[in-house]
Amino acid sequence: MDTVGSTEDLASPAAQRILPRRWLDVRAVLGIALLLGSMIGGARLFAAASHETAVWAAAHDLAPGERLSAADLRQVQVRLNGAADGYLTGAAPAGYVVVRFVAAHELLPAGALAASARADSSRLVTVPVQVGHLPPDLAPGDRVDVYTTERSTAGPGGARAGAAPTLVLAAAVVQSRPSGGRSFGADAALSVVLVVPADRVADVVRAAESGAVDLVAVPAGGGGGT
Amino acid sequence: MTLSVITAIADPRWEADLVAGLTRADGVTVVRRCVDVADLLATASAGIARGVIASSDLRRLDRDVVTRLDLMGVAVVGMVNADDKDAEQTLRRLGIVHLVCADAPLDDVVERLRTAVDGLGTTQPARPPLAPAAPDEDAAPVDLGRLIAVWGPTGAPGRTTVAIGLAAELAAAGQDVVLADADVYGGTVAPALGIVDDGAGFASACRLANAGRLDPAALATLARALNSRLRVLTGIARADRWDEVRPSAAAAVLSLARTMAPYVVVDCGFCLEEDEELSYDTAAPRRNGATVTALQQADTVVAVGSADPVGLQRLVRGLAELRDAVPDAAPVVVINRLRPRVAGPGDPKRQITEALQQFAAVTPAAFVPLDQAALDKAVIDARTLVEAAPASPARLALADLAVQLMGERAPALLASASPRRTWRRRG
Repeated sequence: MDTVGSTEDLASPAAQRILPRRWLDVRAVLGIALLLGSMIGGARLFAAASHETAVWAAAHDLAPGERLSAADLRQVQVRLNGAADGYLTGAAPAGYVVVRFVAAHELLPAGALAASARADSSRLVTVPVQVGHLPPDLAPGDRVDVYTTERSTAGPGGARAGAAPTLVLAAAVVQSRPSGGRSFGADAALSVVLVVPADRVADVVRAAESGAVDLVAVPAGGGGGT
Repeated sequence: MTLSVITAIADPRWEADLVAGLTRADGVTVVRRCVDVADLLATASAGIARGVIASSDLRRLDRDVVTRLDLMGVAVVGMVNADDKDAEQTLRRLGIVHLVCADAPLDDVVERLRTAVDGLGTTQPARPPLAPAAPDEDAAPVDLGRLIAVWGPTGAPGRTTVAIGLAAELAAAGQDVVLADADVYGGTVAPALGIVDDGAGFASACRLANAGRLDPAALATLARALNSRLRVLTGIARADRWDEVRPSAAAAVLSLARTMAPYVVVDCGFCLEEDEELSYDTAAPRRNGATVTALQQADTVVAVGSADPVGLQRLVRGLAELRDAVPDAAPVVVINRLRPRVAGPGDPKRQITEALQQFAAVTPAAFVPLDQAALDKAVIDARTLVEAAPASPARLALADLAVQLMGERAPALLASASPRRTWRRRG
């Protein structure tokens, strides 16, 4: 008995059946892709955000001429975004000499340090300055122009009338100044330590010996020519 | 011998001529001139007539009425207009074999009546009349598919699982199969296969058959094709719609289905009781009539039992009921849900075989192991075992059963129980 001949003509409509349950459906794939994408993206973002460099910062105010030791420095983690070349990474730059003033907590720029040999070209010279002849808020690191006025032989402490002040040294860096004056009196002098290039030390010393010294503050960013 | 006849002719002109003619004819008495079907049934049930002449335009003359007249021992002769082919076909589909034309000579009408009344004794009265093609099985055996009725006792022995599995295996073996869900207590073939069409194909087909309007094209339209081989007639989803599945109509649907496919697998209800007879209400619709009809018509009855003590007891009792309802059925017993732990010590197959031989005098033809994982997968995916779990032991057992039922027609392919390419694989 074979299939009845008329069966082919009498096709039945195809049954509408519920779709089989599939664990791999579009929504699951999309969901997993979304999850993985956000995980990878988040991880990359986090890695980029935490891409920090260990650089050195000043533990306290560093004046030019100061020879660095490990105690003067602190290592901090910062994100430099490609500007890392200007800063010091790696081992502590102990033994180097500061050539620019660096305040406490500031990052230590590579340009502020010099090897000992080069740093030897400057000297610290103590200059006596009368109260009232220096900026009242003078602080280490400030730049000052040093003027001298020939002292008259007639009276001690009095400037010779008509003598013109002379610029001895422009834009010298203040290394330190003693705080406050304990002595009262018009002729009380303060000792200010200046960083002076070695070849100018004689000029500064002579100026200090020969007359009264005035320190004129160079505003920040103002005194260009040294 | 005088032939007492009822007339039930809607058209008054025919009726007057016919009655006048029959009254004059020798040996024929018109005992009542009925005007409608209710009148006809009441008169016939009084047992005063042996024949009825009913016209094709008589309202509410359907297959159920013809079947009941047949069961009352009243032969029906249909009367149609000579050129009304549709009416003639409808009457034939209602199960009326003897037809006369309205303008036929009176002698022809009487001759038809006598033939019909004589023919009544030769058909088996216990059986509902079959569709026109069915009675002459010997004449055209090549055109009729085999009817496999899957039945099981009360409980849930897995009738639907076995019916679906069997149909799927037959289809996988390259045979055209119609799977009909004739469960009058609520069919579950559609949900088990994930078919979301609303209509109950089998019930719709029964309604059409009852009205005499079912033809192969209509049945094919009501069926749903699961694949190129397997078609499904879904059953009633709600148990209270059993009224739509009348026995005589179910018989007609199954007979027609057999002309469409070499195999028709029927998922039957469990109950065989005929409570209506207890109340002597033979005119009441019989709920389990469709089940009994399907079992009577079936070439093979597959009786499914569950492989546990309770299930086996129910099976033994059910087989006895089956023997009462369908004496000539030789059920193929399938033990479903076979698992070792509930069958007692020793080989469970041997234990169950011995028990059934002792208590029911049958030998199980197949044991279907309980492969819960595969069955769960099949039911959650709403797919057959062939689709969902082709390597499952349960599926292989059903494939073996299909091979047994196909006999020599089984292709060698199925013996290896490999999944066929015709099945859509889920991609």
